Amino acid sequence: MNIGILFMLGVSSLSVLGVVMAGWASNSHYPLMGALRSSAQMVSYEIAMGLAVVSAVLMTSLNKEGIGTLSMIGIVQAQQAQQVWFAFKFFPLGLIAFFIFAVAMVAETNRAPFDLPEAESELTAGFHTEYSGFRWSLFFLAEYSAMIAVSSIAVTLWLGGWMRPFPNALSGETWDLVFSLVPGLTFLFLAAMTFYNTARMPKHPYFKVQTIGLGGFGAVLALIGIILFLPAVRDRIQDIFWFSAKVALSMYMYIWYRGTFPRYRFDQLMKVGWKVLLPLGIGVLVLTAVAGILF
Amino acid sequence: MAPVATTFFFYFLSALTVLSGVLVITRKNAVHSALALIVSLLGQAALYLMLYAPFVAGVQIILYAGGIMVLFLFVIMLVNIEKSQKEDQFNKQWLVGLAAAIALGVLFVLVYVKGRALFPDRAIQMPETSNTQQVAVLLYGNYMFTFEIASLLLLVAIIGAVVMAKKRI
Repeated sequence: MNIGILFMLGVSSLSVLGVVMAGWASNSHYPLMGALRSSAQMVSYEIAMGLAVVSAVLMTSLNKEGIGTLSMIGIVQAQQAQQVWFAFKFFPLGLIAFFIFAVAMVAETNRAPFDLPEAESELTAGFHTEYSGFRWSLFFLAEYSAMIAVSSIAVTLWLGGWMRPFPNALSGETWDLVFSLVPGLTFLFLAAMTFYNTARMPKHPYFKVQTIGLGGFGAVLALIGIILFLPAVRDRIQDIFWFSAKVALSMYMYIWYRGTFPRYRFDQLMKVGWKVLLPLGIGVLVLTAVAGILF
Repeated sequence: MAPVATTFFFYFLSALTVLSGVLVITRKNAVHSALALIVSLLGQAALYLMLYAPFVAGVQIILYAGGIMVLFLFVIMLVNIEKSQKEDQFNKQWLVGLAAAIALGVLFVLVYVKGRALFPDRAIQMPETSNTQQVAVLLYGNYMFTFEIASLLLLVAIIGAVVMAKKRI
């Protein structure tokens, strides 16, 4: 089919319909306000997001045939062929495009500091004020799965997808071995942290079950770590581990933003979307095209 | 790629598109009409996929189902729905409408019967992998001038909207 990234953008642009319909169907004031805010926000940030994605797709066409690709696998293979993550291509153009996408993806998924649609101090809970129980949890499942999906797109387009760090600068048998040990070492480190805290648990009999449970959890983590050292498992787990690690880093950033930045005012939000990110996106797109022709 | 149950899917998607299109004009509530229109547009996107035009299908979903329909809903929420629900939905010109519809149907049938030579015997297998490139070659090569005129028209529309909406620029 070869429209992978286009399809992902299309599906993510459909998600705003769910929010708008939820807000309208509640037949109440706060949800309607939240839905209107959310539709305005998501439509305006989608444009900046699309421009950033186009500049990354443009970079895939810098091969001998001059033909790019929209396939997600093809984009990672292009980064492999050009021996650079697209975030560091044409420095700082790729980095700026990645930054635009990183801002727009937080706004697209309605997370802080762009959580205007559900600003609890103004709208109680925005579009899901009237929903509770399982329906409410469906909204949050959708929000968190959207976060993971958008992070995966960012990792695929700019951070080299499944490739390990420095596949070219640190190549060779030794470095391959060192990097293939990282998944097992990660799990062993987690297990060590768990054992350390097991030893620090209060010695009172009330905490006996918790202490045994934590120790058992640490043992399971250590077992997984040791299994990951087996050569057969080690080679197969590489791509999955590095991709998940990059996505996990992106999710960590999401939580970090939420704890760090105060919420925008709505006119500031629109100003950032239309007057900063959109011109920046167009500029990066034009400069990327020029750089692609020159170099 | 081998076609997947082409006949069944063609009739299924066509029925979905037409039925939801009928719902768009028969529903009293404007939001229900908009929802039916979304289903209709998605059905159209699937039909494009069956025609081996994945790029057009993707653009259809992004632009129509994702962008334009959100703006429609945005506008609908600003109008007074209770007042519009009491209004008469159809005017009294159904005879003219029926005649026009029958004339169009007869025209379609005539084109199909008389001009059978125009249609290819079987579906043309397009190279799917380069679909996007071919669209680009046509748009920016063969039909460059037309394409630029269309973009100029859109620019004029944008400027007109800004001029009408803002009292002082």
